[in-house]
Amino acid sequence: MTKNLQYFQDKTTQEVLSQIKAENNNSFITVNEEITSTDKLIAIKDIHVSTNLPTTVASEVLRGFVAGYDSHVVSALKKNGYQIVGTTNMDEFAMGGSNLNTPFGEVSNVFNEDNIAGGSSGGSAYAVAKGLVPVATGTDTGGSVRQPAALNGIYGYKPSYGLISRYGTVAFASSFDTVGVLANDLDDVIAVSSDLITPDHHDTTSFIPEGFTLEKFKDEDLSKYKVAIISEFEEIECDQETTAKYEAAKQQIRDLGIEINEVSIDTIPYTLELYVSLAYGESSSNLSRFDGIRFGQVDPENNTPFENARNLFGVEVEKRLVIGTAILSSENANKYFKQAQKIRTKMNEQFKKLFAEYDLVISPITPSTQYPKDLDVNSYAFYKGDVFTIPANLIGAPSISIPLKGVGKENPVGMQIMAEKYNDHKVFALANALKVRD
Amino acid sequence: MNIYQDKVRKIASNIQINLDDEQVEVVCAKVNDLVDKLEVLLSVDTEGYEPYITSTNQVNVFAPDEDEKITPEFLNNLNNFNGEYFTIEQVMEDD
Repeated sequence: MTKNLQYFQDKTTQEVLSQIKAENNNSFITVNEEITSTDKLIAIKDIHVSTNLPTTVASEVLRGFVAGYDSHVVSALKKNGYQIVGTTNMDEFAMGGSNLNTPFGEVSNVFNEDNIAGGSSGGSAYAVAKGLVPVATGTDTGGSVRQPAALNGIYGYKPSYGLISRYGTVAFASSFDTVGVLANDLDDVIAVSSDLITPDHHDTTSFIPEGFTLEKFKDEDLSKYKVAIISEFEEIECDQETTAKYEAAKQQIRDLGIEINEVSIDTIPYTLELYVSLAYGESSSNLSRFDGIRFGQVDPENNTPFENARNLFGVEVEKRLVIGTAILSSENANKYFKQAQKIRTKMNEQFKKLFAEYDLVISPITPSTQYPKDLDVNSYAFYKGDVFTIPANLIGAPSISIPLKGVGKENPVGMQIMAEKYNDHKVFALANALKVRD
Repeated sequence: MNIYQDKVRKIASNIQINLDDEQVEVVCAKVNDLVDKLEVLLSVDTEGYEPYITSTNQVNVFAPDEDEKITPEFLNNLNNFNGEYFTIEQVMEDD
């Protein structure tokens, strides 16, 4: 067990719970009063179902819903002795990158309450960065773990697709969705992720290659590594702070004896359009299960439960469902959806060629260090900021956001380290070498 | 692709989301803001690339169809088989 997971052991459970209630600033939706110890404390995003805590996905549709079974994430945490201290706030159904799309109160950035926490795992990022818990889970469909981690100055890891079972984790876009981990300390990310990466026959996309272990990162010889920077990423305009820190990090990497070269991936400029076509399409299908009968509050007197439940969706969810349904309609499916799937294959092939020559790809996580709440956070212009993170979801690659200024520093800058699918240990090898604070 | 207000109303009705006129206007504007951008996808050369169908490295293994009873003679004797597929009575009304 890492020292941080035992950090709260000198406090009583009541002291921990009181502090969370007093200082969580909407980052928790539910606090679990029944924790029995303060060792191995963890918060879970309000998206993994469990039998003892409500799961709402920050939606009125599921307010008060308690599942009849534990998700893979919850059962793996319970099995490994973690104390789940509560569920964290998020953008409704993980749709958004601000944590403003929630009926449970906006979550602010840990450094500035006028700025967004990011999202969709914004509650987890705030709770960890504030020091309320050492570690929290999130989900990442287009950057929802890495972006809030970057904006709040902590680590956020998105594993290779399929390493952590999605069983019992409410689906947004199934071919993109990945369970991830946020923490102040890299060792905690590795420890908790290792406990979650276990085979699970409930999820047909759960797959762990033989001999896979994150711990292999310790055996890597970084001087033999080759790192790529992608031309199309480098052309994206970033703010001064981000550019300066990112360039300094590149120099640190070179100082480790690692070669960095620029490579072009010409499908990168279409990243956001691919995401809108494919992820929104998948979400319109996934969310059809919320019919007012099987999940959430059921009103036996109501003769139109489906319509009744669906009118509880927030505006951003409604918008995405309309777009997704339009894209999957017979007149558009062949034209846009199928074309987007072909470009996704092309992007996969291009990255496959890149990773045949290079061990890692690096880039910033976001173009800016902070975003004010009064920005239109559901606009195309804001979504464009996700262009660095979405490709890892499109190709199922592992990726981590590391805090370049060190944990707990204002105006944090997050850098992305990405590797080929199932080479997660390589991501940690470089992240560990660049660790700013021990 | 341009999605007009009538189309938004129809889609919303199909997926059973109630939108009043004001909401239709808002959603329509937001939807068009995004879908206009999707046209750019049509300019990408995808010659030789198949649609992406799986996010895992797993390969499905299918057993061969060994049911010898389903012969052409058997199918032709069925009164609702039209040579390619089975036909059933219409269950949905035309729009």
